[in-house]
Amino acid sequence: MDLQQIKEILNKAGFSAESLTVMNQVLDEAIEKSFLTKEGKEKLLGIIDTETELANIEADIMEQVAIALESFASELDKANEIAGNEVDTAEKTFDFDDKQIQDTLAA
Amino acid sequence: MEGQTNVLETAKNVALERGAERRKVASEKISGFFKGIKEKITKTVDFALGSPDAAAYLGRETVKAGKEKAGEVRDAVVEAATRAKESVIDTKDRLVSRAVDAKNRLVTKYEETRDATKAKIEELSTRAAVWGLTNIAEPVENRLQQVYELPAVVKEWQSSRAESQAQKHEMRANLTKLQGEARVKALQEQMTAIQEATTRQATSIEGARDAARARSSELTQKAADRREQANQVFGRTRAIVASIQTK
Repeated sequence: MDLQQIKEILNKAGFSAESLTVMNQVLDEAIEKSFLTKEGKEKLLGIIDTETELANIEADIMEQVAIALESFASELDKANEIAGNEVDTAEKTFDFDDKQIQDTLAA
Repeated sequence: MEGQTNVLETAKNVALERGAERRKVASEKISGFFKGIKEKITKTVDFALGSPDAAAYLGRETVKAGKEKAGEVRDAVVEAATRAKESVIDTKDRLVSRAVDAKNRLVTKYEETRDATKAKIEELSTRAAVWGLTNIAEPVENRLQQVYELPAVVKEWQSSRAESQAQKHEMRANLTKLQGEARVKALQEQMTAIQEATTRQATSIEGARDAARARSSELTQKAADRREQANQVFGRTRAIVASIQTK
């Protein structure tokens, strides 16, 4: 794989515009000289590692927010369930029944 | 990765299904409960109205007493129903209060996560300067702004004010001022109002919950895609760069 092909792969990988600008500068110099310097390679790897770390931070945040939202939804479910149980209790407390009518007729 | 997505999708469906069942439990119970009370009130009112006929049928002269006794039964059921209605008001208020607490916790969690992320990105940004990167934070922070946006339904959800003790006393006082049929009618009107208020709140809480769950699912998928890009695509690219021979 030559340097031009590597440049094309890097440009399709989805790196940020700023990272691509710096990486393209390094690779353009390398293409012109037909070789990549050790410093240039370190820079490319450093940028890729930064992008990887950044993407993982972004994924972590999205997951944390997703969990917070799911937890919120579960709390609302629970609140609803408790309300249902309280209605059950209220129903049992509302104990008026036909017996009072029967008692009245029998009195 | 695909397997994990399927599991998440199934888990989401399980959650939606179970949530819908629980939702039905609360809203249907409240509706059914009020329906039951109203039926019992109607029945005792009928009994009170027809009581003199029943007394006559039994061959008693005490038609007046029969009417009075029937009136007592009606008052007893109205009193029990009033207490039950007040109990449902308390249930509605607690439901709203729990939902408000849940929303406050969500907002706090958002703020904590946002602050922690800002610190992480700033630290990474400082390290990235070594590689000639001077502005990596801004585009990420702009993207994350959307992540930190509460779903509109949740954001706009406003809880109704809880019925204050004073309002509850006022409702009860209004009933106490009335007698017989008028009291029954007023109680039924109060029950209808409370049932409607409870349903409104339950419906808006359900809307907030469904929106939160939909957004959660969407973010989980986006996170999986972003992680895949980081670990697979960037990982492959890194391996290619690492294999370049240098001079």
